Amino acid sequence: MALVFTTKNAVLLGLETALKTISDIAGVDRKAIGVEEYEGDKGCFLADVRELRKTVLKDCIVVTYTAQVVVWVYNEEPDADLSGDLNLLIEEVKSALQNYFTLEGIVYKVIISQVDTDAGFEWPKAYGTFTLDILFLSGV
Amino acid sequence: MSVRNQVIDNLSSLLSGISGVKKVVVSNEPLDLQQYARADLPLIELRVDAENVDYETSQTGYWHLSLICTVYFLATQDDDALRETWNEKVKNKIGSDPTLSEVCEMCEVVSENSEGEFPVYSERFGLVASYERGIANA
Repeated sequence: MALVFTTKNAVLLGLETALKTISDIAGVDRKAIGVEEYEGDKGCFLADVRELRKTVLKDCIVVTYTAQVVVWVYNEEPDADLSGDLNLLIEEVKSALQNYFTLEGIVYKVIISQVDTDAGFEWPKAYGTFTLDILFLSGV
Repeated sequence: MSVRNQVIDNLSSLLSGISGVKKVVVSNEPLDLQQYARADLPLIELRVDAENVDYETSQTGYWHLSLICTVYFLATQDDDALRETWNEKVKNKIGSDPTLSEVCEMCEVVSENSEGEFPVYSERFGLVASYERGIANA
């Protein structure tokens, strides 16, 4: 039985790859430098990755990463529907994660445990957050 | 060697002949899987459970030795087909020698349960080996 043993870096790169499949998305990386540093009208970044390790065999650990993905939209138009734009982006992120359910085979699964569609709203920006649980195996 | 120990020994040998099984561990308490490595799986734990006796006379009885046989295996996801394969392998093996080389009258599978979670899944079988023996040497 081929079980894939994965490193933290591979998981985060896999997650970035999944999120980069969203068209015209900006700032997909691990630097939480804030929306003002990016160009574009929508983007996301990974923040606050925590890990829980559970030894199941002498040489096999199940690691659960709880990662927060911050998504943002930006629109300078005075009558911009920021909340509508944010909801569209959230649907795109969900879809991207569903398509990369195992991050191309490197993890067991990615679970969207929580979605906050109203993490911050201040024209011309609006934020949302995803909390993800990512399960994978690591060696000792 | 007592009949009881012969049953355990012969059952352990029988189960170790199942194709793919890397190790059979006989224990008296739940196995600590953290003591074993990936290379040890699929692994069978054979745990001695309760013993009951139906007394026939003051000197002889019909013994029922309960054992719990658990097959641990690795998988990337819970897979019914894989569980079915282990079910079939264990039942066929026990069915191929139900008297455990004529040590008992019958060793039978009385229950089965699917357990485990990623990445170690298991199939647990309740077994009962029955034999008639004098009380003194059972």
